[in-house]
Amino acid sequence: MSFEFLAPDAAVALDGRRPPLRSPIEWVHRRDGATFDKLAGWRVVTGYGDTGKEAAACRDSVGVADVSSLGKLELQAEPDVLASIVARFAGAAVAPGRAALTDGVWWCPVTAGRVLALCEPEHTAGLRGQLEAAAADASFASVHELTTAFGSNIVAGPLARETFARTTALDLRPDRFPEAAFAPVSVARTPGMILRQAGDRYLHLFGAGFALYTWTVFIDAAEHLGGRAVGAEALRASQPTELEAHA
Amino acid sequence: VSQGLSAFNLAGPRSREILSGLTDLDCSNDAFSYLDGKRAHVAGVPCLLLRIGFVGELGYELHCPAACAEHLWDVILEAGQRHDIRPFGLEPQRVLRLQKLHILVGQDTDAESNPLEAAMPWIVKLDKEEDFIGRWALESVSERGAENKLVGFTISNGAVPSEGAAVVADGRPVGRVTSSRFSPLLKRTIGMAWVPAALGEDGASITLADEGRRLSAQVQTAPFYDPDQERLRG
Repeated sequence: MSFEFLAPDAAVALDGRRPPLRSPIEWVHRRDGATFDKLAGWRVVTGYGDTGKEAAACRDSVGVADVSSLGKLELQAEPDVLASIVARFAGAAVAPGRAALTDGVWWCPVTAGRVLALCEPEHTAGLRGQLEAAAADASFASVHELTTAFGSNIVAGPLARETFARTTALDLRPDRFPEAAFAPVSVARTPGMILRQAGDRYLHLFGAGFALYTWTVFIDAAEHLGGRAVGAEALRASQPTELEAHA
Repeated sequence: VSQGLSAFNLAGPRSREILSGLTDLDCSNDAFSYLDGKRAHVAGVPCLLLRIGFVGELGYELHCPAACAEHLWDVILEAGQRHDIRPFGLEPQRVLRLQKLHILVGQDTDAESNPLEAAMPWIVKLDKEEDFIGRWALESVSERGAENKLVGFTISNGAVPSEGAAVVADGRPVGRVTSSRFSPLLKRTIGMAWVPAALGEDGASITLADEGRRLSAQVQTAPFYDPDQERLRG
């Protein structure tokens, strides 16, 4: 059975109009004066009118960016089968609590039998095809398209950890949660996952149905710390992620 | 994946015409019949389409990636303008489904309900060879016969009993109202209630006790609207 109807990248142009792909809270960004650019069909927030202030927030306090366009694919299999497939793609095994970054894809171990692969939106369809081919060759392995099931934010800046501290009990100190650390965890009392992508940069994944709530909570926390919502331009200017560096 | 999918119910006699203009899928009754499911692009959006009719009219459920939902919604409303399309919410759905006696699981049924008494004997296949969860319990109900029945009722004076109101007989509660609404189309109150099997026949009179008042209602076991399913299956 085809699950194409789960994949936003399967949208095609009709009468010259290709359906734009939107974050679950794009209307909030529009309300807040965001400007948008297109990236692999997605409308991505470039900024909210003052890139300088947004970059300063990422540099001096904290910036919160909606990156829901990230591709999210979950590979499920028996642990040994899963480890074999992931090792083939990632070039190394992922360990509990530790993600691996290879060729622009983050491999995040959710459980022994589930790994979440995160990639830039332009690579989602290709990666899904490769994973589906690998899963077809294995016994009891499957790939689940979760791009729109999860919203995702990047929280970046020297006060990013302080921002998270207001919403989760997870210890994010560097010695406990170093770069590439990954954990499924409750954030703002909703199920989520946190990946430390780089020094002061964290990726937060949450159920798309909680996107507005999550955004509200994090913007409120960030603003109390001198931070703000930021777009892709400020995020890029402040500190390219390893993911972006590999893209 | 629930949070990743959006869903729309495109319902009404013009729904096929609107849908056909947005997809290459053959939406004719022969190619896409009642209770069928298809996968196709609608307005360029990958969709799972289900031809079901909870509201009792020709209709389609469209499930698509949530990232495409706003686009699909806008395109459908634009395409439907010349057909006087309009968004509809939960309350009309409740009235429309009640006209068809389509149950809401958890409201019209509870953990002790069974399909034989809940007016859905057609869904149980006791003659098949395979075992299934609940078979023993359903065979027991089938052998002893129905003790209660979920039925429709009408009230002609416009009074709308509360959902949860008691069905009384000889001064004792013997059942309960599970759903009730005034139907503007039928110009009378319609509802569903659990009653003793002896009262669950067409034309039977039942008494409802609701906040100090007594209401007289008549039992109807067939849908109030389009009982022959012509609109639904057309």
